[in-house]
Amino acid sequence: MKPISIEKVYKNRVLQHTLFWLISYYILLRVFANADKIQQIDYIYTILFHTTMMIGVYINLLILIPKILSKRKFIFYIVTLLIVIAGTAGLNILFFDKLIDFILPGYYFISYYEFGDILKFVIVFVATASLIKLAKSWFAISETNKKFVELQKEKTEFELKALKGQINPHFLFNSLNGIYSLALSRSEKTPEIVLMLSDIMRYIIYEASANFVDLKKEVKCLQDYIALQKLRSDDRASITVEISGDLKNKKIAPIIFFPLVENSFKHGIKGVTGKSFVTLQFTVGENNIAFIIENNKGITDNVENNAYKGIGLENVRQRLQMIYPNKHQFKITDTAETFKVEIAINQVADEN
Amino acid sequence: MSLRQAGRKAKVMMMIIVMGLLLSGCFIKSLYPFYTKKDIVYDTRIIGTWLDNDSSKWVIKQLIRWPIKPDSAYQVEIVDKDGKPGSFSAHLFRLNNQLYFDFYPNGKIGSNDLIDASIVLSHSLAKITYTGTHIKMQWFNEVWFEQLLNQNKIRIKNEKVEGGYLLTASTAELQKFIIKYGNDPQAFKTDWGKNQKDKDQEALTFDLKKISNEAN
Repeated sequence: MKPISIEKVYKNRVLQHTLFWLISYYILLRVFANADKIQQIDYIYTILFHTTMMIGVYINLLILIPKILSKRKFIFYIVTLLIVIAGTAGLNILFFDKLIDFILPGYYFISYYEFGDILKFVIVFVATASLIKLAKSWFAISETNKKFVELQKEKTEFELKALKGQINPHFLFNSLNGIYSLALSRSEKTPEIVLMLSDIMRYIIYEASANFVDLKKEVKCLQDYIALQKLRSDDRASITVEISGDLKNKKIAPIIFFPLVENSFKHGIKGVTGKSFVTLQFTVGENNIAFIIENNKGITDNVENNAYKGIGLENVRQRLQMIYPNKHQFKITDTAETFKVEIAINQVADEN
Repeated sequence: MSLRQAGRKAKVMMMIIVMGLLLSGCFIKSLYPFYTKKDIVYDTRIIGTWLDNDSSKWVIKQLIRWPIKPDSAYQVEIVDKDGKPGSFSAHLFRLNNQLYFDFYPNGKIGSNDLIDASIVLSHSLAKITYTGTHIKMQWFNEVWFEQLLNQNKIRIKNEKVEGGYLLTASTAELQKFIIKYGNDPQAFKTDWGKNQKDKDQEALTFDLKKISNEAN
């Protein structure tokens, strides 16, 4: 025979109620028994006693709790509950004083308890059944909440993957376009650029799949990327990278700053014919990171059509919102000549 | 066995015999009284000397408790036709417009203090029909009660004792039972059958006739 699992009992309502009444029957049968030996009449009396108790218990469980208590009408619930409790006690007395003679003629029962005693029985029954129901509801709500949180987490992870997925082809697309241009002009820098691109891609594909990466590795990759971009830029471009603070033992969401650096080069360095600049500052504190990137404004890259403009910027904003909710600041300063993005992330050390 | 041990054994035996006699009567016996203070009725017309249908003399007078204090109860001295005496205190009480007598044995019963201290005295119940010069006493039908108990059709606290049952239900329960089933034709039966137990019960249906207003 297959044993009944706890989960089966937990989910089977009929089984639960049967178990509740059986336990109560077992206990009260022994309480009601007049002699050492339980008589047949005691079995009958205990069943009948429970029948009257069931009326109060189920009025509370099936009507009062779902229709009144669940709507938070607390005072109305208490008043109706008191009426039901008193009514059930009264019914019990009426049942054994009068009704029993019609139901079981030939049997001699009386109401063995006074109203106050019956009232105590009803209160215990109603309170126990209510507590079990409320406990079950609490467990159900807790389980639903847990499932909801899991679903939210899954949804967030899915969205993050989708956003990260936008970066890779975006970046690759731009880089390949650059390499294509170099290849067309038969530049000697082409193999070196391909190699750098390979390093960056290795980081993005193998290491950036984690939720958080070492800040040091992230910065190293950014430096590689900038170096790659430098090779693609002419000598007139001023590219400054300032890193201050201790990068060790800090974690950061992977490739979070990449789209901003990529945009700076795409719209600043590449889009102008005169003097151009990109300034990047990394300030790492005990618990926070400040990232500032500024570039001159140039002519919009023709390779990217209007539909894809702003993808990188919005991508960064969304990822920050999801990964560092209420723990970050994101500021854009857009003037006629320059474009500046400032990001501050707090409590970075907590992400270990 | 020493003489002392033999004496003690005899006393215990005597105690058991007396207890058996006391409890084996054809009455329904109860550990608790069938009345409460508020149910008691005291009627001076009951006081007097009465003669029952078995020629036993019943002298009923007001119960005086020690220290001398009249009680709303009766002292009933019964002397049967063979001259054997019996003494009870009796409370007349009304439940659901019906009069009842609660009888309780008076005084010492055993031959010594050990026996008296060991005996559990009990209350007996009789339904009363009083007409001024006549009192009809119908005792609670033990035959019917025993049958119901044996058939598992009655639920009231009791203990099986030698020769019958001793009700151990509280006064409140006893009264509920009397109120509910007091008018059951079987509970206080008047029309008896032919078997011995029925005859015994019938013999316990007394019809008392007042022969004097004096109780002496």
